Amino acid sequence: MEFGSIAREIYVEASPEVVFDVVSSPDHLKEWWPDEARYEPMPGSAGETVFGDRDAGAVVMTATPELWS
Amino acid sequence: MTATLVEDVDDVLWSAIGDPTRRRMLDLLLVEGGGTATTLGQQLPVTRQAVAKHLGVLDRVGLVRARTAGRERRYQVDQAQLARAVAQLSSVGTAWDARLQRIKRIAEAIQRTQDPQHESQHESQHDSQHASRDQGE
Repeated sequence: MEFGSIAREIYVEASPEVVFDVVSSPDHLKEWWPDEARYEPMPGSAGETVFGDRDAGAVVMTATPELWS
Repeated sequence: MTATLVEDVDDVLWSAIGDPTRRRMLDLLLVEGGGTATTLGQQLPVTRQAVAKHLGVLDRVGLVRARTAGRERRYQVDQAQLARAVAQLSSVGTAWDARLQRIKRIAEAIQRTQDPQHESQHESQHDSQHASRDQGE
């Protein structure tokens, strides 16, 4: 399996700080990607993102500090 | 075949296409209307054994159909299955384009609440951004 990349460019009328917050903080992430998000937006933190309804076969992605070491 | 819940994507189908030699083989089969391990091997920098192995992968996911024609099996692309794979690839791209648009809308809405009322006041925008950083936002 080889890995390629897909790039997109999009102009946003907002500061880099605002955009970074939208793409990294769990409260904002929930607005455009997973259904639930719980984590500290810091390298090495534990947490989870949930795609779908937990009671109906959701995909739960968890991260733990061990994964980063 | 199972699809993930995140997007309707067939991982096995994608794995089959996610190989440059197999994609080249599909191109050749499409252009030439079909082929055998021999005809493909003559046009690719891989052994006939490797070609046969790749044809097996493509056959198992239904991207090609085989017919016995003489001593060799003759393969043709299954257009419907290829169209299905292409549609899934496109749908992932579309989903991400939609996410980027949501990111843009959310960020711009936040930015507007941080800016003063008048758009032309670039200096005070700069000042208010500094101020909000000082306040630990």
